Amino acid sequence: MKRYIIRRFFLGIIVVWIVSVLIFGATRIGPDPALMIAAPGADEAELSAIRDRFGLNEPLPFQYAIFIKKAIQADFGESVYYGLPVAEILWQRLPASLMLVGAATLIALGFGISAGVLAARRRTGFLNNFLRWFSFLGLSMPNFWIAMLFILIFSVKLQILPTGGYGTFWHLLMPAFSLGWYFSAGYTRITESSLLQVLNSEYIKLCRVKGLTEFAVVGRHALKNALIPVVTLAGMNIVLMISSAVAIEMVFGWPGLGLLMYHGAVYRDFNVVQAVILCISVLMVFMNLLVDILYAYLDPRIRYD
Amino acid sequence: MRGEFWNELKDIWRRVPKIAVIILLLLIVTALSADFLALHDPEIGDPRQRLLPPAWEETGKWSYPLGTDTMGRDVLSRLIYGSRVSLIVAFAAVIIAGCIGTFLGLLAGFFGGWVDQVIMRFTDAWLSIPTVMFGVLMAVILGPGVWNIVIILGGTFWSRYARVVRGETLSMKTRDFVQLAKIAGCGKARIIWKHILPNVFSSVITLSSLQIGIVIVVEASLTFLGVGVPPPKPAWGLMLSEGRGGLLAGYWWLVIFPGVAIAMLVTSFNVIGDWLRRYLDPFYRNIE
Repeated sequence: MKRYIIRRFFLGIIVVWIVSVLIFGATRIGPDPALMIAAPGADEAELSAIRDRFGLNEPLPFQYAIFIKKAIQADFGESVYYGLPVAEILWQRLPASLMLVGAATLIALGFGISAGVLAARRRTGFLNNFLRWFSFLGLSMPNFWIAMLFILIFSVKLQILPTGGYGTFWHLLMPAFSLGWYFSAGYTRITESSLLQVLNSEYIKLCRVKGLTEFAVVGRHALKNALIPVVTLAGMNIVLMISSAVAIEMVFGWPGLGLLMYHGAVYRDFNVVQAVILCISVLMVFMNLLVDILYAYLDPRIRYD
Repeated sequence: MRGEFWNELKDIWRRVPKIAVIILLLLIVTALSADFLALHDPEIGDPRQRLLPPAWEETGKWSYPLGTDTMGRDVLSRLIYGSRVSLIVAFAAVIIAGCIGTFLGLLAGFFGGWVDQVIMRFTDAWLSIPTVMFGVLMAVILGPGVWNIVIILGGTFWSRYARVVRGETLSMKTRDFVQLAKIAGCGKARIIWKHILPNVFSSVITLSSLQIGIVIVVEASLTFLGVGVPPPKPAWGLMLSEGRGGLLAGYWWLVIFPGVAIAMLVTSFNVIGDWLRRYLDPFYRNIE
């Protein structure tokens, strides 16, 4: 077990390193970065000033070495647009992102688990069909379109929710629902399949033989085991949600990491963009690692190789 | 011979999800015959006909069935031409991604060892990079354009193929027919090309049908964010981003119709993909 964890951790570090090379490389394959940072029509003197300021005159491997050395110390350079250290901006934007992702996760989990349990218990019926189509629709509609539909219905027609912004519980509702809907389908599917599997196992049969009520069998005994894959999926989806929220944050003007990254890309503020993408990728790598270790720990049948 | 073919076709038709297949075929036919179907030019509007509501509303006109946008362009015509953009981008991107991913997956699975390690760590890295955000970054760097989007999406979505194909290849490698081919003296390239590739192909097709919906949505997102297909091209994501301006003024038809089009296309791909997965892969082997 210990060797497995160390090995996986080591592989995780390698993956993080490759990610950092890819992201660094991506901002360097295009035209001269100084040209993209500078205002249009900048002359050679301004360009060379920018190159000096951002260290663009050094050879590429050297630039990368500096980038990675600073990134390890959580220093992502300075933002051209905001004139602040990038790390500071990231910390400012993190709470909004976490709040949105947290609320969306609660919505997706609440809906997905109940629909999944219902689907596993009763395979037909109107409610079940409705829930299946509901989650299928969530998979098919772009989340920013759902966001706009919500605005159209709740802000323009009914006028009960604010069209955008950040602050109160009411501001959170529409962004969280439009983000959570898509992810609820995955939870429905995985709850259903894992609950079906658990309900077939011996210990559930024993519970039935013991004469427990159906509610106690499913709710107290089966669900506990059936939710393991759901929780691990949720771990990875939380990271995925931060990045899929870009368009939603744009529609609602929600000041999270997605909007920060989007503005960074549009204003050519590449230090910000690099930092956001790198942080999310690193989170993803370590969430993967955590999930694998958790699985190996919870299920001793998994081989450690 | 002919009769046999028709019987087989009928047999398949009996099993497919019919509504999804019909919708998809209709959309493909629409995209192919856009030049005949569209009533108006999708890129040049008539300034006198700005912001007409759909025909069934009071001030609507039947020559503009789904209304017009802020530049007086016919929404229906733009939708019709937009199906072309969506389908071309989605198919091209999935084909590129499928080729790269399958090739790397075959190499990694067949050769194992350090080849496998290098390819799979690269795959892991690509899988951990947030797709939409990386897409936005690349689109800003490469500049707007349909083919840039195709390259970006193709270059991003290959990683899942690599993982699935590698797994399949690993299990194929131990099978008797591959061992026999080896004993018979087949070269490595021939074994991969003639013996393993045809057997992993069904997984690639299944995965493609599941991926294509995601690709369409990501393309629409990038275009919506203003870094994808550039205006004035008629793309559904672009129509949504233009419609966003009129959202609060209540020009609902600019927002509803393009979204419905995307949802219809993606739903039909998802339903067909779901069916294919169960049809080609009854044990849900590798593909989530």
